[in-house]
Amino acid sequence: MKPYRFFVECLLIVGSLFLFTCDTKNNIDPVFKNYFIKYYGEDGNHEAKDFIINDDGTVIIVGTVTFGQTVLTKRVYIVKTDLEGNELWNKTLGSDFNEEAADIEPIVGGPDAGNFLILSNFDKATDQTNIRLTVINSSGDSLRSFNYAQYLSLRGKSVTSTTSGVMYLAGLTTDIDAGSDKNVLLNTPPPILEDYLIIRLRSDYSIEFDDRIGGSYEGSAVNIVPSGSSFIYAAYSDELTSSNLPDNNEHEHNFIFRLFSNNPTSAAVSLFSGSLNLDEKMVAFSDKPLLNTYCAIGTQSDFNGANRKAYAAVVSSTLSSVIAEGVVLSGANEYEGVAVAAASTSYMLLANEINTANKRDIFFVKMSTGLVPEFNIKFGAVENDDRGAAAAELPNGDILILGTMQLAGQQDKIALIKLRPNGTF
Amino acid sequence: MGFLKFIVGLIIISGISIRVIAQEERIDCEQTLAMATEEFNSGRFYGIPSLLKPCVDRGFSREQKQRAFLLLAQTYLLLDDPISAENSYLEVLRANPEFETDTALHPIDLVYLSKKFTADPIFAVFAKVGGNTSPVRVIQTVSPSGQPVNNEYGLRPGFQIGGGVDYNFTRFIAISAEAEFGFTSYKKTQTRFSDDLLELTANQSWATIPVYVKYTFTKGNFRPYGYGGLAVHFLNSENGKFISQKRDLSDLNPVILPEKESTNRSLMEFRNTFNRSILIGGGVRYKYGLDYFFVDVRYYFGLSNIVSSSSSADYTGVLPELGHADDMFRMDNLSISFGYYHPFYNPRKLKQARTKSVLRGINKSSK
Repeated sequence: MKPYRFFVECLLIVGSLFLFTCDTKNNIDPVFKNYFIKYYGEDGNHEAKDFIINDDGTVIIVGTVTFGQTVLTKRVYIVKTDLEGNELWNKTLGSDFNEEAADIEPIVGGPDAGNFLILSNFDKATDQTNIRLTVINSSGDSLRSFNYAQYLSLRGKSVTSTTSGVMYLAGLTTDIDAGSDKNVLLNTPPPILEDYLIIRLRSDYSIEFDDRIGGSYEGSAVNIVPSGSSFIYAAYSDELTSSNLPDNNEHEHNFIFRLFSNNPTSAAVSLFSGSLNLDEKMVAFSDKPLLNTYCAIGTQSDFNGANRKAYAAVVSSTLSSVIAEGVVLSGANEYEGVAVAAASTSYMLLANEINTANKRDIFFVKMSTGLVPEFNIKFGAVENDDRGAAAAELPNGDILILGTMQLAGQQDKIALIKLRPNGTF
Repeated sequence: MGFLKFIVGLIIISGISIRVIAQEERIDCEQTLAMATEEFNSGRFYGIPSLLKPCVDRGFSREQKQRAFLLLAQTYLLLDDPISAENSYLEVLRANPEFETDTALHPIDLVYLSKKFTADPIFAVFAKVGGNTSPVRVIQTVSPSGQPVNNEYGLRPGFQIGGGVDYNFTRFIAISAEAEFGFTSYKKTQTRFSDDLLELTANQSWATIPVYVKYTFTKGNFRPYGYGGLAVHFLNSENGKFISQKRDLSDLNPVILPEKESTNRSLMEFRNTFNRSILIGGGVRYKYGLDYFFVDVRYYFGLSNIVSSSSSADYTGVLPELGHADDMFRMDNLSISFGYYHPFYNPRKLKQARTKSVLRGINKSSK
């Protein structure tokens, strides 16, 4: 064989192999479909608030869209995606007022079971906020909505649906309760600014009772979760904590956990978590128990709000004890707690890391029930203000994180982040 | 100073003197060559080698040397001294590697002798420089948004510099290898979130090693050629500059924010550095002495997805900062180069004489 023929034939063989390995749609690694950061929104700025994962693998995200640059118009924004992050639909709920989303939960009992509850707060007037509960179906159609305005100003933080059809709203009143006399033990009683508010709704969304629980300058119910035949409400306040924490200082908040069966005002068991000389404000309480525990996350700071750190507490589901408590994220930068969710064997805690320029990054940490960290991850750009909203574990162990990311320093968009169970893409 | 002037003057005078002497010798040798030709034509062959020897040793120009050794080759053939004839013909080729006998001009025995030899270059080297542009071929659109996005890729100019070597299997066919350093660029404009714009201008630097088979026409001053082969590309760097603009046009009060430009930043985190392509190309060589100038047009068909498959996943880079995710894409490249080609002629005797074409040549010339 002549040498050039040999070379040419070799070249043809190698060429065929090259062609055979040509990258096409069919042979590229689809990892970009499975693990991602995806953004949602259209015109306007979009702030993520919460999400739920449906049994069919779809995700419904709720947030707030803000239109305009000077005169701001705010509306509740809902988007549904599949697990590859593809948007299936989005809806903007109509309103006569500026309105902000607070929570979304599936309805598990009552005539609307299978649909979804969206909790929002709308600005009825200056410094007057009312609560709205909207029922949507799986297509995002608004079926009905109910306003709650039994006080001058009130704000909802979470909604809980129970299998019996009863629902709970947790939040706070933001008008001054001049009639309260529960601070008489304090050296210098200040005006009551906030009370925590728990509303129990019948399956027809009418109020069965509401409790405005005072005794504090500032405080709020954060979440209500079932625990056996009873319920736990998780809250924060600067009230006197029944001599468990003899804190006289104004604005010295602590985490509060109370177990009740009917009337939250006369709670059977109370637990407290926090320090004597620092401020701990709860922002989230896990919806589901993990190994007979619940977890709360919030922000610890000095009384003036400086030196923020993420603070968490794990309590037994019967509120018999505080299993673990303390600062979970601290360092050169500051941190603020955002959300917590129970995974299969650990808690997923979400916080914001705040740099010296006051820009935030989303900080995710997975921790045991003893608050021992397993791993953590940070998302965001140094010069942009990015913040977390919620986290959840998928049935296969993958992790979904919801947040808001500021893109190019110009606009906020809802961000859905999907990770492997070990926190990598 | 005076001594230096003296030395310089001496060198100049010596140079001029040498040139003059060489010129005179060439004139003398031209006369000698004419005499030798006359002797040959008169049938007096035996004295020709000794007649030409002084000029062969030192006086012939390249062209005279070609004629002299051609005469000597014919002489030795007639004197039945084939070894000396072959040596003389080799000298003809050394004097002019592109010399070819012609059945219409040269005696048939010389033509047959010439078919035992070749001066075709085995190796040739070349260098080139030129411009290029790189079309992007998208394999899979990756939307950083949950909704589809509209991506448009634009062409941008680049340039490349390179050199290579030809290994000639025959006078027409060569296998070539090159080392090429290229700078390419492309522009991506994305419309998303209804009307927002994100524009990326990316600049890449590559090291490319193409290997290909080349066919070259070998007659005339302009010699076209074509080739096809494979190439491997190493992406050394890719830097991109982003311009983003928020545009809310559907609102009753449309908002268009000023464009915001990012600093230049590396995109190598999401690039596969090793890539492959097939290439085709062609060009024309223009004969310049024994070397060539050439113009070459080439197209690389990218085979590799140059984007790593995790382009939609990023903790702190361009995805969280700007909302940029790369599509999966291959990159082609169209280039035009101008260069210089230098063959290394190698006069040598063939293992097998190429005599098949002689009869064809005779028939052709007799017509």
